Amino acid sequence: MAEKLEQLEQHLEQFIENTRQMGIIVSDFQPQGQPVLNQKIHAMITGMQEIDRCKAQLQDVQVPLEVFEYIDQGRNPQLYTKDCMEKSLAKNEQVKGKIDALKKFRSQLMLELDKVFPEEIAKYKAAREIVKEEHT
Amino acid sequence: MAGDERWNYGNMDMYLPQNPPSSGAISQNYNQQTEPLPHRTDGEPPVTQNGQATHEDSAFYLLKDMPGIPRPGGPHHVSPGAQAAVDITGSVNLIQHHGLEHSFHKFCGKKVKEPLSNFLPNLPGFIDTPGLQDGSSLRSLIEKPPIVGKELYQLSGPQLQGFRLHPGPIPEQYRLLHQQPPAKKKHKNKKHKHGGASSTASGEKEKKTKKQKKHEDSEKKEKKKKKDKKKKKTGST
Repeated sequence: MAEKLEQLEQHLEQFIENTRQMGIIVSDFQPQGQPVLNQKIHAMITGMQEIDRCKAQLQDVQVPLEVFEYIDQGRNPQLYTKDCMEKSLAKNEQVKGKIDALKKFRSQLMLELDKVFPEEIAKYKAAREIVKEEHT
Repeated sequence: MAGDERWNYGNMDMYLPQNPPSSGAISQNYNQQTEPLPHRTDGEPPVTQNGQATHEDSAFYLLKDMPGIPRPGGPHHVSPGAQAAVDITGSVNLIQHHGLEHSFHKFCGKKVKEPLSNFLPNLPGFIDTPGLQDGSSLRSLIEKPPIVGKELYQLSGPQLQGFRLHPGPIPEQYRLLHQQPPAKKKHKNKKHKHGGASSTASGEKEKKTKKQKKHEDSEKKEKKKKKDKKKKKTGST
């Protein structure tokens, strides 16, 4: 996968460089530059054909649409990856906090229920032990 | 890690008995009970034979697996996939679990520069401007995709005649497209960016220039000596 992406990247860089050179030729055109311009046009069409051939090898590559928003704003797409990582870490911490709070609540609830319904809680605990043994 | 205090406790009341019974009453009812209670998955207390839910029977309805009640996959059967999914919860560091620590330190540990040109330094032209300004946004490409599927052929001789241009410069309004942004000042710490390869290359270049200078200096000295000798010879004669 990395090789295919590198190949596409090379083709794109060559295409862009060719286009840039065409722009320089055209910006101050001289008659003796016409054969060179024609050669550049041929190279541009060849470049487009090569890029089109790369398309078939990269059908399974998926890109999130939110990255395009970053690029359209002129921002580094690596910032999108960074934001995703930070959001996932924050959500992970949030969920862990909820789980810890619920565990504390459960233990506190069991303590209080044990005080109010000692026999029922004893039966409940015995039933839970049976379930645990059958799982293991 | 701090937990979220904005939780909704509205649905929790359905699990609490409305009239807390005395422990004696419950134990009597449990001893009289002969048949296992039907298992309900909606969280409601089980219904007895007369069709009425009783809080006296609510001691065990919180159990996920009722002892004595067979389940379709066998007694207390849990599929391996479901068991694995239960083991992985938010209490685990999921970034570590999925082996993304290196990526996390790479993107979040170091400062990532804001402009797009830092990601693509070799692209010509101004790329840090928003794409909507000049109609080159990727979003417009998705909303109005170009015509694809046609074969690409090289242009023939008569077709290339259409690209014969008049000599001279282009109008000023089109010249800006080929202007390059000002070259960024390179920091002196090139060694950190490019690693050891360029440092050795620059070192070799420095050595070469020093060697060249030494060679040139020695050549100059020799030339001076020759000139002095000639002057002495001409002076003596």
